[in-house]
Parts: sequence; C-alpha cells; structure tokens
Amino acid sequence: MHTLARRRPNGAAWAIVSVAVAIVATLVAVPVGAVFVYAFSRGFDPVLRTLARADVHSAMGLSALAAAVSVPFVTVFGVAAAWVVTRTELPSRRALAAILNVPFAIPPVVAGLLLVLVVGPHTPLGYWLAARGFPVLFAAPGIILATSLVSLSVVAKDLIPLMEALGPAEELAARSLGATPFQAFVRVTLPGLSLPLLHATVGALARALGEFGSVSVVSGRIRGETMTVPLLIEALYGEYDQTGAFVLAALLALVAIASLAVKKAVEAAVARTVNAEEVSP
Amino acid sequence: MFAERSGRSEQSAAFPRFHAAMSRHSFSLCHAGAVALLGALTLGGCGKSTGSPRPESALLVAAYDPARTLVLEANKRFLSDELAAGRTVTVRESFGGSGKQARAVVDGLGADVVLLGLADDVNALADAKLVKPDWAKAREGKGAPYTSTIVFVVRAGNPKNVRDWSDLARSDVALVAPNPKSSSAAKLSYLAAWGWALRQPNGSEIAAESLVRAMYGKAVVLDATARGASTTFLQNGIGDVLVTWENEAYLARDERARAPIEIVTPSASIVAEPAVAIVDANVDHHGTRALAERYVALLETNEMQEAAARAHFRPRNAEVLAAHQREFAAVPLFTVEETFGSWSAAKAKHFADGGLLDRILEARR
Repeated sequence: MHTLARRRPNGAAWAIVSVAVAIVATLVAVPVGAVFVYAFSRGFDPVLRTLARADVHSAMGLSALAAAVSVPFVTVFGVAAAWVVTRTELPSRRALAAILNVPFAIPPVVAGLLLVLVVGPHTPLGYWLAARGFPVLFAAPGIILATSLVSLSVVAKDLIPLMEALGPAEELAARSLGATPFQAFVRVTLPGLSLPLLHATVGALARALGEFGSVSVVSGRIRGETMTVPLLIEALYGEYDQTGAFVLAALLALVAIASLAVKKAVEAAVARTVNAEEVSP
Repeated sequence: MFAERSGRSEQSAAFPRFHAAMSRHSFSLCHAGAVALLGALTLGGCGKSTGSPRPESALLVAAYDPARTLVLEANKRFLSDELAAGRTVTVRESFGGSGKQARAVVDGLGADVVLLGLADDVNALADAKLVKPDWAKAREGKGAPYTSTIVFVVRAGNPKNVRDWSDLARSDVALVAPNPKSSSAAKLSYLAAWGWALRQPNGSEIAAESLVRAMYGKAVVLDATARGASTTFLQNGIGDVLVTWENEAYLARDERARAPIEIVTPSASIVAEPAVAIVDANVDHHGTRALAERYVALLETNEMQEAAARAHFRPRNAEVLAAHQREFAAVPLFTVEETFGSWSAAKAKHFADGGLLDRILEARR
C-alpha cells in the first residue's frame, strides 16, 4: 500500500531533500561531531585524566542519582495523571490536563527560582527541614526536586494522547468479565502501555540528565558535592579546561544518542505490534 | 485531545457504574504518587546531604570565579597546615560570578567564608544580616590579600589600535564586556571609564556619560559574568576588545587561548578591591568561627600574597608587591571613593533600578 504513495523523485523533491540534509548537517551533525573531535583533540590522555577526576565522578554520581529518583517519580506520576485525564470523569481532570503544560511552559530557571521561594532556607518549610538536618536547597534534594519539576509531565504528555486513542474498551471488557479496577489496570492497561511507557521513560531520562537551568539556581555549585554533569561542563569550559568540558559533553551526547536509539527501537517494536494486531483478526 | 474525549464521554455514559469505580481508583493512584514523592525526597536526602549542621571540621568557601586558582591553592595549604596542627578538616569550595555567589549565600548557601569581587557584594550579605554591618571596619586593611584593576584585551597586533578608554567608544571597535547589572568587574569597568573621562582635560560629567553611553550602548556582547565575557572573546572569538579584570586578562594570556592576544593598559584605571569576609550567621550556626578565622588569616600571610601575585593579582603587602612590581603595568589608579564619594553613592546614581545604566541599556532595545 505504501508503494502507492511514493513517486519517482523529481527536481523539486531533490532540492527539498538537499536543503533538509544541509540544515540537519549544519545544526545537528556538525556540532555533535565537533564535540567528539574537541574531546579527543589532544589525544586519549586528557580524556582519561578527565574521567579519573574526583569532581567528575561526583558530578556523574549526582546526575545519576537525580535521574534515578526523578525518572521513576515522573513515570508513576505520569501514569497516574494520564489515567485521571483519560479514564475518569473527575471534575478536576481538565484542570489537571491544563496544569500538565505548566512544567513545559515555564523556563527552567524560573522553576529553580520557584523552588528557592518554596523550599529555600528562609521559607517556613525549608527552615523546618534544614533545622532537622535535611537541607533542600544547595543540596542533593533540591537538585532532585528541580530535575523532577522540569521533567514532571514528560511521561504524562506522552501517554495521554495514546490512552485517548486506545480508549477504555479493553478495560471495560475486563471489568465486565469480573476484574476489579486494580486488576484491569495491572493486567490490561499497563501491559498494553509497556512499550510507550518505556519510550516516555527514556525521554524523561534524557531530560533529567541534561537539565541545566533549574539545577543551576538550586545547586550552590559546591565542587564534588552539588555539581551535576551539565553544571560541571559549564564550569570546566569557563576554567579554560576545554578538553575536560568536551569530554563530559561527549559523554552526555553518547547517552543521548543511546537513548534515542532505544526510543527508535521501541517505536519500531510498537509499529510491529500494531501491524501484527491489524493482521491477526 | 479534547475533541476526542466527546466520543469517550458517550461511552462512559453507557457505563456509569464502571466510571464511578474508575474515579475512586484514580484517587488511590494520586495517593500513590504522593507516597512516591516522599520516598524520592527521603532517598535523595540519604544519598548525599551537604547539610547544616555540619561537623566542626568542615569549611565552605564561596568565591568569585577569578579567584579560583588562588582559593584552590589556599585550600591545599590550609588543609596541610591544619593537619600539621593535628586537626583533620575538610574544605569545600564553590565558584561563580561575584553577584551570583552573594545571591546564593543570601538564599541560604551555607558558606563560612566568602571571597567576592566587590565589597558591595559583601554589603549585600550584611543587608541580609548574615555578616556584621561593620565587617569592613573590623577587617581594616585586611580585606582580600590583593587588589586588581581593569585593563583591555585585544587581538594580536592590536589591529583596531585600541589604546585608551576613548577608543572603546569608536563605532568600528566591537566591544565585549560583562554586564554591569550583574558583574562586579563590569561595574568597575564602567566606573573606571567614567573616572578616566572626568580626569581628561576639559573632562566633565557630560563627557563621562557620553563615553559610557557609547561603550555600553553598542557593546556587541554583554555577558552576565567576567568569566563569561572572557569565554566569549577568547574561545568564541567574538569582538575586537574585551574589558575585564587585570588578572583575568593575564590568565587568558597564560591559558593558550586559540587566538593570540595582547593586553592593553589604559592611561588610567580604577583600583579593584575584592573583599574577604566571614559569614557570621553561618559560622555561628556551623560552629566554625575559629576555623574560618584561621582560614582568613592564612590568606593574609606573605606566602598567600606570593600565590596571589602568581595568579596576577597585585599583592597588598608592600614588600611582596615591590618584588613583583615589574609584572604589573605602572598605571595611575584612582579609587571609587575619591571619584564617586562612596560605593553607595556610585551605585545609587549608576546601577540602581532606573539609574543611568538602566537608561543606557533601555536605549539598546
């Protein structure tokens, strides 16, 4: 069927394709390639030295921690929010759907400043927590909160259109056969969503690892303690350690490319499943 | 997506009981989300906490970017001195733009000692009641162990022939500078240009205003921090002249920047007096006052003055300065006080909201 839609490329088509390729090459391929070239521009030794630094290890650890906490959190939140928006008649669900746009709409640096206003040590909540040996701002919890806040609706925004399109028919069937709501959710809804959920989670991971603006506000930039990988990249660049900055940038780029590959693989798997379903009845 | 929902609503109308069940279910899911959030916070807290209250032996130094090499050297020295005295301590450091560091401490960053580009940034901490109001007097003559000044950096060979402040106003000279709104180096650059213009034959406030208006009205890049402006000029290759700290200029020359550069010293410039202060509220809270006092005393030793000179700061100690005199251009320097009366007077006129700088930057738009 898809052969029908394809035509022999003519001159105009070639022109459009070359413009598209030129744009992608200039804006994406060249900068990403340059990151790797700069990273290795002075050979392997500076790369290994950068990767052996204690502050680099600490930044990697903190970035990993922030992602390890925020990704499961936004995933659980995303499933819950998508459920409320698409499967319930709660009066607040439209409001929730609208609120889900807020983390996308506010600039990350503003998200960081909001945290200063809400959990800073001069606020009642922040003071109460700090007094109990649990500082939020300028410590790991603040960085995790900032990361979670900016990526809060990544999963929900991914799932909602999909769950809308799927409709509740399968869950209704399960319910009519005597399943409890919980059983219907765990045995019918979630398995159907497993691949899209993986797709959304990888998106949340990429967002969490790359977050700069909001974390920059709440970090305090204490070396070896509250610096994430993106913050350290900026600091190293400012300290004329260009190689170090590009080594870490290349590392983040590698993770991003790997997660893109996973996303693409998931999309292909989804497409196969859909095709199989279309054929089977 | 709302359009799609109308179809689903018809379906749900057909299964009222089912949807009532769904609604109840969604509540429990929200609760699950709340529990997950709490769990996340707890786990995060367990992972790594920079927490106050900290052990007596931990010191946090928040410094402005240009002091980085000096602070790292001081910290190394401090650790070995303390170890020699039988005390095991840890020193942690945080670097950023001077104003940004002051802001972070005001917002609750638990720094015990601050080393900032401007005394006025420490005044901001005094305004927030974190530092005693008479901190400057208490540290009479013992501020930062060094001074600096403002100079120009140009491309090799000085192709645009930039010699003095008046050249920065030329329309064919692309100026890169930090933004005086946020950067201490930039505030001093602005005041240096103003002070220079006042000191010229027939110098006047009008001439001074037209100079800074030309400089900041047409600057091609106004970065948030001095280091950001250095990066723009050196690593990104933008602009004909960079106005920055003398020590930043020398550091840039040392750091094998991709393009060769030259340093131009104007015919007169301003004295930059970075400031060291103990953050009283934080050391009292952490119980680290004695530690912080020993750290500040270390900065005042001749040894650290030598380290300051190596980092291209002008040592305060006359002997150490004399030993390094030929490394620094002999340039007539004037102070903020003798030119503007006081910092607060200069700030009120030039940098306050709605002040002259705001009007100049407004005209850029």
